[in-house]
Amino acid sequence: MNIPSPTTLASIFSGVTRPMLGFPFEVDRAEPTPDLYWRSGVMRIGGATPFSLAISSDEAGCGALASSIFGERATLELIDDALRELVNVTAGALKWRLRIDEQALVVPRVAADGKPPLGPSADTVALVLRGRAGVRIALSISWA
Amino acid sequence: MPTILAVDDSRAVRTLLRREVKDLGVEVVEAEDGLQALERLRTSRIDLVLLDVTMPRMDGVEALRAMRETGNKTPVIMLTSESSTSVVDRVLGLGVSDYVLKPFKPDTLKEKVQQVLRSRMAG
Repeated sequence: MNIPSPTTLASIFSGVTRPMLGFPFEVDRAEPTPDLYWRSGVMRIGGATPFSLAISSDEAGCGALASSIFGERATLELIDDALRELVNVTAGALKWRLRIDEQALVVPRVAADGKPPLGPSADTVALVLRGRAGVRIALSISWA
Repeated sequence: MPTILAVDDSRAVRTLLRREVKDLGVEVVEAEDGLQALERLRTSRIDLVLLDVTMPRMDGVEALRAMRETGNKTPVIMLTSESSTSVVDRVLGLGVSDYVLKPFKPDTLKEKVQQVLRSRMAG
């Protein structure tokens, strides 16, 4: 399975964030920095074409994502809920775009240990996307 | 005033649903999973269920099946991030009024909700 280009991934993610958050994201050419892994929504899908997807951000970014949805100051509970739903809907959009039809989505989880959620692997790609007001997220995909 | 039951384990989705339908003159009540939804349906008059597919404890397909097996014919619009044809076929086979792919476009959701409620009130 070929991982889509960064521009395509930004487009897929923006297709999710426009209706949910009210703004799109574009590719930031910088490498993900450790602070972007403050908290992550993670989904691992098994089956014939297994893949994992994670959406991470720093504390300010996570707060901005959650506040955009809830319209109120973000608590940890709201941040975790927002990250889980963002990764859930993005995984669905990615499956649709890549025509992966044989595997069902699963309930996502949150990783809060500050580490890259998919671990170091040759099969993992992580890129930075930038949204409104400097909000940066790390989007990680692994086909392992 | 018609009452809509919004069922999703994500508070984010329940918040977005409430926001999107607020100007339709409906009351929105919430449930976090299929079990809570079935309890709500037993104890309240509900005109339409917006039901997520993937949830912990009891998912939307199980909840829908339980509703229909007990004779509950309340209209259901399924909500899902899942475009898999097998999942879509399963829920359509269980007698849903419609389904909406997430992320839902506000106008599409409103249109489908209005359509179902109009049929419900006319019937």
